[in-house]
Amino acid sequence: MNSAQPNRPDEEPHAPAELVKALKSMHRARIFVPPSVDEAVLAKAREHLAESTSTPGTRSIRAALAKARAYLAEFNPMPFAWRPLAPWAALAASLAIGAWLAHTLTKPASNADGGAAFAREGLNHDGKVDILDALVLAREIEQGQEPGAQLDLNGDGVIDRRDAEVIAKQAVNLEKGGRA
Amino acid sequence: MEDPTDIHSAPDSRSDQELVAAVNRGEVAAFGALYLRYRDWVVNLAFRVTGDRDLALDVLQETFLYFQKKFPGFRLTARLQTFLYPAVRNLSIAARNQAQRLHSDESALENIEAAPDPMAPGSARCELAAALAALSDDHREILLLRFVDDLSLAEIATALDIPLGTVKSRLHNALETLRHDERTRNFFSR
Repeated sequence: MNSAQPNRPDEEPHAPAELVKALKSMHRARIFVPPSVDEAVLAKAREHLAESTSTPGTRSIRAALAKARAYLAEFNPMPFAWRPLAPWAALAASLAIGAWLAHTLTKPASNADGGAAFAREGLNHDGKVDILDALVLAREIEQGQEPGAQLDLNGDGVIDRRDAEVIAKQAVNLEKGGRA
Repeated sequence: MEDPTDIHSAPDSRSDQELVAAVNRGEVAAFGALYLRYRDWVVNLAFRVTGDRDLALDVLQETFLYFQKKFPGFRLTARLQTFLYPAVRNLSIAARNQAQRLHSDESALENIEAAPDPMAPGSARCELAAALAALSDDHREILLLRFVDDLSLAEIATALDIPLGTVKSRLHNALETLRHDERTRNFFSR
């Protein structure tokens, strides 16, 4: 077909060969693409394809780990070399605290039979069993107050100054072995 | 052993369809092959629209970032150029408009678009560039897609999402304008 002749609108338009050649030549200029751009494109593709072809479970784990790493990187002042040990250190600390609490809350106060009694007897509520507690019990007895039955320390069925003496003796550890 | 992701290794001889299928299976090397195959076309098309090398490189990366997100599950129903063209075009226009807002120098951008190659004033190529600049954007776009990028009329219709008849009509009008333009009529009389 003679491209110099006008094209009919219903035909596929043709252009003169010289015009096409000139158009291609004009747009021949090539933009040099630096290797760094190539690598950046492929790196993102590699990351996306690896993530998109993994299982939902794997993706969830990866996402959680990524968030944890980001959090640690931003807020964790610990030297980087120690960070892998942090979870284990936290677990050890938790176990130690738990053991200490269990021991502290369940251990019997002081020693022997009198010791158990004294655990009840911090009468002045200072957390210590000492001569002051004996004085408090003695005062209560003199004043006619009725101390609780648990203060029948010598087990004679009566709470009197003899129980106060038990406390006093144990507080100053006058008896041998600390026993009543 | 040759690194499958080494973009400087021998060109991949697989067709676009075969490469797309491989990328859907997670093959990075196949994506690299597609990237290499269309990289220069994308960046030069982006430069044609933006007139700026750095913007063109940005558009290149954005285009393939957009493309990779289509996987897995992408179905290639036409030539990859046909699929990529709207993305490159839209990203380039967006980049150009953003640069325009930043630099507020519309006249400079118009001149760059009209003369993608440095050429001597008064030369035939300079005259052709001026004649192209005088065309409407739609006419110039279709003319270049057909005769520079070698897309068929059907592919152009798909790429631009317009009827085939519209493509024919615009191309016809573009050529008629150049035929009657004193700067380019010599092409039609040879």
